[in-house]
Order: sequence, then structure tokens, then C-alpha cells
Amino acid sequence: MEYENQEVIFKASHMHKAFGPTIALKDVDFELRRGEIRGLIGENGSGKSTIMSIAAGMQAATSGEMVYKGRPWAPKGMLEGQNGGIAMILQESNTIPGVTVAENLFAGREKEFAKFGFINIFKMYKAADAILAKFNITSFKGSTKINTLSFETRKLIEIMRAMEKDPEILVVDETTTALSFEGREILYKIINDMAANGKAVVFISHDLDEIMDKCTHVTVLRDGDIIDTLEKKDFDGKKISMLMVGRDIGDAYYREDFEATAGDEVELEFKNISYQGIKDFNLQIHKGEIVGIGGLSDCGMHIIGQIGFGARKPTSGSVERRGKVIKHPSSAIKLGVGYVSKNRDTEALMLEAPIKANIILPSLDKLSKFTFINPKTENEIVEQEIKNYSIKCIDSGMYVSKLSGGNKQKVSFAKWTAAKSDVIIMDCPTRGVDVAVKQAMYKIINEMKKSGKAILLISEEMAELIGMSDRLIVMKDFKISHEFERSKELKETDIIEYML
Amino acid sequence: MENKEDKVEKLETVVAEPSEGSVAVAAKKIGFGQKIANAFKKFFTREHLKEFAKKHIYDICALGGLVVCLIIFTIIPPIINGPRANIWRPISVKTLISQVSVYFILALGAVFIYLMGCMDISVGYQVGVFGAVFILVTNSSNLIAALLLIVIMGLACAVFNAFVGAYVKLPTVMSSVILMQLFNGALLSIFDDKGINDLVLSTDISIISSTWFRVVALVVLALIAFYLLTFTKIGKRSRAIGANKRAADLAGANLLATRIVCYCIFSVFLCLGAVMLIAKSNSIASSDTITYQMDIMIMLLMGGMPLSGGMKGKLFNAIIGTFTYVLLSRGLSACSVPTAYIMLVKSLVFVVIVCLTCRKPGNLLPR
Repeated sequence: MEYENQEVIFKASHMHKAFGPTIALKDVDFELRRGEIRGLIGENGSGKSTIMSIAAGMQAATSGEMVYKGRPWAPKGMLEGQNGGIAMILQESNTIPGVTVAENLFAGREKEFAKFGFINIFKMYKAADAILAKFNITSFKGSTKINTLSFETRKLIEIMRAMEKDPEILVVDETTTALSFEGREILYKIINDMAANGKAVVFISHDLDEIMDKCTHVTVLRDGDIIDTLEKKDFDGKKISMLMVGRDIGDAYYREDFEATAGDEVELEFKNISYQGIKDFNLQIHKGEIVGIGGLSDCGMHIIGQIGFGARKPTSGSVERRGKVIKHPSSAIKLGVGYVSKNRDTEALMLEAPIKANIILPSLDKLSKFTFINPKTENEIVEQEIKNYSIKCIDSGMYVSKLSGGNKQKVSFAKWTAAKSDVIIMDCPTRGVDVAVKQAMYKIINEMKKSGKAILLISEEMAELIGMSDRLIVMKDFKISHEFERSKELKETDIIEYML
Repeated sequence: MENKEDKVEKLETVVAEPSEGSVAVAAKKIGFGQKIANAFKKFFTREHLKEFAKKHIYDICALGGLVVCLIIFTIIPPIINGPRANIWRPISVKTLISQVSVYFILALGAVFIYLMGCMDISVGYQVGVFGAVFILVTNSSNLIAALLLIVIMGLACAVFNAFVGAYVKLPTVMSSVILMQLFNGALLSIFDDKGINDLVLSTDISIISSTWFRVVALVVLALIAFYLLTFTKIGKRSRAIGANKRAADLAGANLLATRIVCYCIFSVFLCLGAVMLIAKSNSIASSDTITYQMDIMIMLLMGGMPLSGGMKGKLFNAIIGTFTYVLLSRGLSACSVPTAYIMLVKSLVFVVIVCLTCRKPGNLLPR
């Protein structure tokens, strides 16, 4: 059937959402038809998740109307949204820890398996196994404890749970980055099946290639406003990025030079480090050098980052900076080493705290004079960092939890520039941020290099490693499998060969 | 999509505009007077007031509680029991201050550990033992030695609490359970050995019991606590630990070191509280202090302190909480409510606060 002839399943008119003075959605109109896979793309904080979270009942709009399946729609909570047929899979983990897969799949539906107040757990396991079989999953069972499964697999269970209610509209919010390769294939199949059966899918992602590949339509948002909606035939990567960012982001994305440069001074040295699977790991990072480490997520590279900052204690060997051993994060900070954790919300930031408190925390030792920390100096530093990174906020007292993903990441960078760290270990620094923020981050990293800082860049994105590193180390099974020099000829396939 | 072209046009205009900087930076260029006027203007907009109320909901609730207590207990007791029951008679105010002074010092100290999300339920027994030891040593030796000894005991407890939390990975409330048992035993053996219910101090410390001394001491201690919490590493780090232990540790707020310092400050305040308690009647009884741990917890909660600690906790919570709590007890007894019922009212207040706070973070009151 022609797209125009398809029934409009969901419609929002004049939808407006404000969080105090911050406007997340500006009076937008949005329409979704049966059979379509709609991509929503936009920068962090553009309002793409907000629209659908309102539709799914996670939050209420400040004003505006919604019509769903021809009737006015105003769900009071996620449960009402789900029961009505709008299911949303979120970026964050949403499974119940400590119980089995089956209990997660049937959370809230235990009554279906109960007799005289007792739950027949075996019946539940059996039903869960049947669902798993439907998705061709054999690696675990309904009776498996959820804690034994990886984060990626747990995400898959969330998807299955959402699909169990047979939703009319499925909203997938930044989920694919949290899925394994196999999980992604399962999700894509679900999406295609739903569209083929006359249901609708909304796919929210940062990944432009993925959106263009999987969606039938794409809506671009910027600063809470819908900028444009394109059909598949009009998809053009460059045009969509331009609509998203509001300007041509140009070709200058990574570093423009292709020469490996570094000073002579060793700024950080890993000496014969052993820890779990890692044996005798040696690495030197020089002044003004970006050393990239790439590999699969469990190759040991993230552990190396933590050891470098003293957050994990090696069983033998030591990490030294100018002859002094790093034993603990506080000693690392005193020696001028900073660390941007890959787990932004749990390790890098205090979400329920003002931007100011977050930025200033690693600098407290430096600022303290006879126990006194001058609030004026503190404010000056924070304001300077907010300006340098152009962090979008009302003021420095705004809570970090209220910021968008990209701005949160900027705060976690600002902590270390405020502390004037000379060595910065970055673990997946651009995870979950959009192109414009990424570009800004790369520029900052490059400026750090130029100002003589030594950087250890740990990343799962090959393009980023090739684009930024002076030296690229590939790890496989806790060992360095190869080392590349910066070069124009270096390709992703060259690296993957040593990763797998 | 009807205004698609408008929006694409807008796209170009947005590009031309300078990127958004913070308001605070722009404000720097204006004069001081203008700045204050602007701040006032900004503050009294309806939207901002709403935002302010939302952000400070617990402080407003806590302050509201105090004001309600003030109004009720100023008006009701004289109506029921005549002018003698007025809680603002000089003699009543004096008793009020002496009652507040002990609680206030303990609450000030407790703020340091509650901010980290820690809790201590051995407060009462610790204060009891510190008081008893203080009297025994002063009677047999001298006051300075006694003070030194109880401070050393306090610091030992602090280190114990911090170590158990950091190395055994037990919640700090568990280490305080151990201390509670230990100090309870000590308290019993001190009083049982002597076969008496109270110990009397033979040295005169009446200067401490004068109302003026108490008021000055409270102000000075509150200022010291304010300085430590607002302008030093320790205050900022203790809040950071409450907000996110892991992130704080990775940003240089060494968990063990911060905990040790905070517990040490707490212990010093407990010692001072013990001395203040003894000064009230120049003696201490075995049952004087046993309700303190719960009293302190309720006071802080009443003052708006989140149980999980973090950025929302502050000194203000201790101040408001102490006054509300003492006013509630004094006011109810001035209304001739029997002690048993006062306990009941206190526990009801506690239940209400717990109900309001035991929701997910972000709801009504913080946890």
C-alpha cells in the first residue's frame, strides 16, 4: 500500500515540553503511520527521546494533544503506555538483578503462573524457554540467573519482554550500541517483521549509517524542533548531518595531519604489569603523544586504563610517572594524571550534584590553601571551563542529571582540564555522543596534544583510533597483538585482523 | 511539515548567531548594582520561583515544620495551662537552650557523616561512656587529662568506623552496631561496678552551664562546622562521597581518608556534647543518653537531610531539625501531654518523614 494511504497510528499536535526554563520540545507536530520504520535523529538534547517518552507515558507533555489509533491518548505512566500498545526500550539497563531470566520476562505477570497464591516456577521457566526458542536463543535458559549474563544479553531480554505484549508501536531508544552483533540482528528482524505486519517502529539513534540503512523515513530534530522529515529515496548522509547540526560540519573531523609526533619525555609508564589475564604489559606514553588502544571490549584494554590511573591494583609491576609510582586515583591526580571513565553516569560523574561540584572535585587539593578553598577562584575556574567547552546549561549550579548526554561528557572532560592534568586516560570518550559533540571532542583532544599533554585513548571505534592516535596499539586476549604508527594508509580492516 | 521551509531558513540564521555562553559570564560586564537588580528580577519571575520551590522543597518543608511548631506551641500551651505554660518565659527559654545545646552539638557532628550517606546508631552509648569516663577521670585526676582521654577514645572509634567501612566493606551502620554493643557493655559495667545510677562531678564547671556560654559556644561551633563544610576539601569531598562514592573516589576523594577525617570530627563533637551534657547538672545518669542516636536521626531527617547524603545535605538541616525537635518535645510537654504520648508523636513524625522520603529519588523529598 502507498505510504500516504496507510492509517496514521499516532499523531502529536503542538507538543510542548519544558523543564523549568529549559525547553526540550517546541510545539512540534509529529505523525506516524502503520508499516513505517521512522528514524529519529538529532544532537544530544535535541528532543528526540522526549517525543517518544511522552508518547510511551514516561513523562507528560507541558501542553499539546496526542491521538493514538484514532482516540485521544494521554497515558499516565509507562505501564499504561505498554498496555495500550506503545513499548519503549531504553538506553539504560532495565532488568531486575538477582533473579532469573524468566522472572524478568514475566515481571508483573506472575499471576498467570500462580495457583492458590503459589507461583509455579517451572511453568514460568517453560514459558520463558518457549520465548527464547522463538528468537533462536540457545545459549541460556529461562532458569538462568540474570546476573550471569552480559550487559548486551540483558538488553536482549528487555527487547523480548517488550515484544511479549505485542506492541503496536515499538520505540527503540539508542539500544543498538548496547547490543552484541547477534542481538542487533535479532532486533533488526523484529523491526522489519513489525513494519511488515502493519505496525510501526520508531528508531532513535546517533548512528546515521544505521538509521539510513534500516529506516523507511527519518525525522531530524534540532534544539527541540522538528527540522525535516525525509523519505528513504531522499536519504543523504551529508544532508542529514547538516540538518542535524545546523551547519556543514565539513571534512575536518579527526586530526588533519598524518604524521606521528611525540616529545622525548616519558609522561606515563606501564612497567611489567600483570593483572588477571594481562601478563607483563609494558607501555610508554610520551609528552604530546596520543596513544590509542583498540580491541574487542573484553580484550583487557579497559582494565589497562584503570590500572594506569590507580583505580585497579596490578598483581605485579607498576605504573610510574616521572619515577613515582601511582598507587591510587588520589596519587594519580596529585601526579597530574586524569581519567575519563567509559561509565559516564556511574563512575565519571556525580549526577545528583551541580556542574560546579563535579568540575572542581579533582582540583580540590590544588585549590586548598591552609584548608581554605576560595569560592571566587572556584567559580572562575568553573565558568572558564563551561565557556571553553560551551556546556549548555542555565548556570554552574545546574544538576548534571539535567544535562544531555553530550554535555555530561563535556563535564567529565572539564574536570581534568580544570585540574590541569598533563596525562589524560580516556576510556571511550565519545561513547553515546553525536557528531557535532564528537567533532568538538576531537578538536579538544587535538588541542590537548598540541599543548603537550600525553593522552591514552582507549576506544572501541576503529575510525576514531585511526583518526586520532600517533601510535595505535591493538590488543587481543589481554596481550598487545600489534602496534601501528600513524599513517594515511591505515585502514580499519588492518586493525580488525589483529583484533579477532 | 507545513512550515518546513521556515525551519530550514531558520537553520541558516541559527548558524549566524553566536554560540550560547553562560548567563553568568555575560553578567560580569555589568555594574554591581545592576547585577543585584537583575538577580532580583530573575529570581522573582513566576517560573524561577516555581523552579526554586521545586529545588528546595525539603528545605522549605523543614522550615515550614519549624514555623508551624513555633506558632502552635506559642499559642496553645498558655490557652490550655495558663501563662505559666508559656514556652517563652525566661526560665523556659533557659531550659530550652540547655536542652538544645547538647542536641545541637551532636547534630552538627552527625552532619559530617550523614553527608557521606553513613549512619551511626551508637551515638547515645558513646556520649554516655565519654561522659562517665570524663567524670571518673576528672574526679581522680584532672579535667584536661579527662578531656584528652575521651577525645582519644572518640578518635579510636572514628578510625574503627572508617576502616570497617573501607576494608570489610560493611555498611558503616554495622560498625556502629558493634560500637553500640561495646559501649553499652562499658556503660553498664561502669554504673554496675559503682552500684549507682548517676555519677557526680566533683570539679566545678558551672561556667559551661551558663546560658551565655552555651549560646556563644553553639554559635562558634556552628561557624566552625559551616567553615569546614563549605570552604574546605573535607566538606566538599564528604558530599561528593554521598552523591557518588565511585565517582568521588576516581576524582581524588580518597574514601578511607575522607571517612577517617569526617568520623574524627564527628567524635570530637560527641566529646564536646558529653561535656555540655554533664554541665547541665554536674552529673550523668546511666539512662541520660540512650535515646540520643534515634533523636539525632529524627532531628536530621526533620531538618531535611537526605538519608543517602550527598549535595542536598547541609548544616541548615541540623539547625532547623534540632530546633524543631526540641520545640516539639517542649511544646507538647507544656501542653501537658504525657511523656509516653510525646514519644508516640515523635515516632509518628518519624514515620511520616520516612514515608515521604522512601520513594524513588526526585520525588517529593530526597532519600
